[in-house]
Amino acid sequence: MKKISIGAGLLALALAISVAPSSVAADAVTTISVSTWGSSPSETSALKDAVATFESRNPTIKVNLIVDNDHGAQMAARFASKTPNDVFYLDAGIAQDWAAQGVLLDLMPAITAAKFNLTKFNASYLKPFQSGTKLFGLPKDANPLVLEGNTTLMAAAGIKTLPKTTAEFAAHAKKLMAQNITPMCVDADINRLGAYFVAFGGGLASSTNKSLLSSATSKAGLEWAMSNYKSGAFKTPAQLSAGWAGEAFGKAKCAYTMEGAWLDPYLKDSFPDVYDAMIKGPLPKAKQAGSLAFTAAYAIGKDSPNPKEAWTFIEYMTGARGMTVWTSYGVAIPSRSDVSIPLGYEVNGVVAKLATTITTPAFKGWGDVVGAFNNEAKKQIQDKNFNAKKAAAAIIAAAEAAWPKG
Amino acid sequence: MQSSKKHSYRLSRKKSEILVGYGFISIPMALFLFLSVGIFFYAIYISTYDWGLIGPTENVGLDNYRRALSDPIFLKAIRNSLKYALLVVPIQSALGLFLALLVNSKIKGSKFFRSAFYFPSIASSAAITTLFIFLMAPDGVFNGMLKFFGVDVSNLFNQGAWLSDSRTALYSIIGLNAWTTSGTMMLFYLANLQTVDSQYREAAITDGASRRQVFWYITMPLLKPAHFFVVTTGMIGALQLYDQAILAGGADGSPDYSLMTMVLYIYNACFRKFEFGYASAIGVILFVIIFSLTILQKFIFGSSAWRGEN
Repeated sequence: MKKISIGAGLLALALAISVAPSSVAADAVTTISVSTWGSSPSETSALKDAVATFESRNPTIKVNLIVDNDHGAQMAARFASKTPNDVFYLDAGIAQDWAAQGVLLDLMPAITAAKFNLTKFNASYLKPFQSGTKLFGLPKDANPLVLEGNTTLMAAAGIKTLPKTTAEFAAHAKKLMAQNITPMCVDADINRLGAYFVAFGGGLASSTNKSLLSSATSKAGLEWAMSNYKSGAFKTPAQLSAGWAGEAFGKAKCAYTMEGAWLDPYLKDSFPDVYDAMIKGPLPKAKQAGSLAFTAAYAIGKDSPNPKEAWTFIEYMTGARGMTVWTSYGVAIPSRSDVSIPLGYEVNGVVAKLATTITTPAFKGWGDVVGAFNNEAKKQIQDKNFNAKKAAAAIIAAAEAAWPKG
Repeated sequence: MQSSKKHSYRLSRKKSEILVGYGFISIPMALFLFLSVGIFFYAIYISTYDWGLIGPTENVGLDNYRRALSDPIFLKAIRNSLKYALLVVPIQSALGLFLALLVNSKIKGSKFFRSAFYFPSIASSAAITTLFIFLMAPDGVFNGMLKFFGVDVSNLFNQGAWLSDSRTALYSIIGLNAWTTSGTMMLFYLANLQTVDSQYREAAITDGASRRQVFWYITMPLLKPAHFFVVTTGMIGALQLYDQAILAGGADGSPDYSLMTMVLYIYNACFRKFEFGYASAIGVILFVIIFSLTILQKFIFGSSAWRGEN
């Protein structure tokens, strides 16, 4: 009898201990899940640090950070099963596709209620996430393409500064090739070559999402790029046995490349010598200085379980304070005008502010255009004796055939 | 009286054995009916809808099928998948048979060779494809070997980037998969070879048959069940090529959609465009193609091979 009562007492005590703290904690702390993609260990580590500052300022919200391997596919599965994360990265290129599916939460009511100031954001970074009066994401940062040069390889060809114009680039290419150095590694991808459409005075899409690819100026930009592939001044990462242009640049297989701020932490981690030898500048100017800029946003799903806490997170991370912390790690530059560009990224900041730096188009079906352009571009350059003009015409024709009708 | 009792006991025992048998298979059969047959019919149902991330929005009848059959990228995906299957299956089967005959003979170290030949089959396909990408790169081992033999490919095939040239990318993947799957095919052939009664061969040799005649007229016909199994499973697997294609050519199967396969196309329709109805229609078309080819193989190999008889 005594044994039974001792047992019952212990059981009651165990129950009290196990139930009491968890009920208190459940009332006090909400855990939100935030799903992202990670391009490098440095980027993930920077994000963890930025999230830690959010948690220290918001002790009632804990963040469960999930770095997806295939963010698009994993988010699609979560949307379909109505279990999206509370907050997730939303790439500008697919924002309109996801919005059209009706799975994103309109942030405007929360923005209005919180009196969150949207005028601090560069309007072109907000545009990909807008649909009518609705706004489905707040841009977490921005990233324009700039020219990176390896000073060691440049010096081997007697070059001291980055080429400022396309004519200077041609002169540099000649000197570098004379030393058996590949001048530039750039993928045959509209998200890279599109910058030359802009530099030659053209563009990718109009404000009403009509194609600008076949304009004479855009065509001139692509023909220039194609002629560089033909001469050997441009090579694709595959032609240099690399997975992407940053890897070829890091392995010193080319003197120049054109990437965004994401290249810096990658080089710092994997190729510190090349990182130390790197200089940056705007892309070579043709008719004008121009570049492409990329952005991504924080968004909330329509079925996200904790929209209130999710908004608190987004408000902090895309606010001046949170964005200052995040961009201070140098993986991207701020998308807000009231956050200063971190040291070492001044060039990226200058390029981002150029009136001729355009964000990549964002409309439903843009992904098909990208696929068609890239497939045809890679096909055209696989033969060494291609005709640059004909190749450019074929690439533009393929991309325009995939352009959404209407 | 006693014999009638015995008879009824035997009957009831037989009945209970039958019931136990059905009991055992009922759970897997229920799972099969639900997860395979049921899901297949559900896919047919979905394929008649415009079905996005939040579910069906409109019944579109057969529009998804019409759209698929008029989409040049999908038609290219069918051509690529069929070309791949029709080339890789004979190569991997022939290699598998050759390796099986080799390790089945009484050569020294046959156990080691058996493991060595099977090793690529157990390696992760993602890992082995990544390794293969390095081997086939312009400065990879393959081009190095060609250079050693005096063949310079730096001006050919996208400057030696075999997996980035639309004329060589698919053939490179065929080579990769013929190498990695031949070990599995070897095992199937080996299993069949070891059940073949050696007296047939011995009798033929006694009658004066040459080694070549023994192989073509004795061994090959006796391996008919293995041929059927290897070709059928090989064809089904080949038509579902996905991982090597996406790793080498990206989700667009580039360059020039040369690595776009039917399953990669389904992935794009599902996870990049969120067109689940359209993706289901492609899935049904893929099923019809695989099913038709399997039935065709059954007719080619004959019903004895289907039943596993020599």
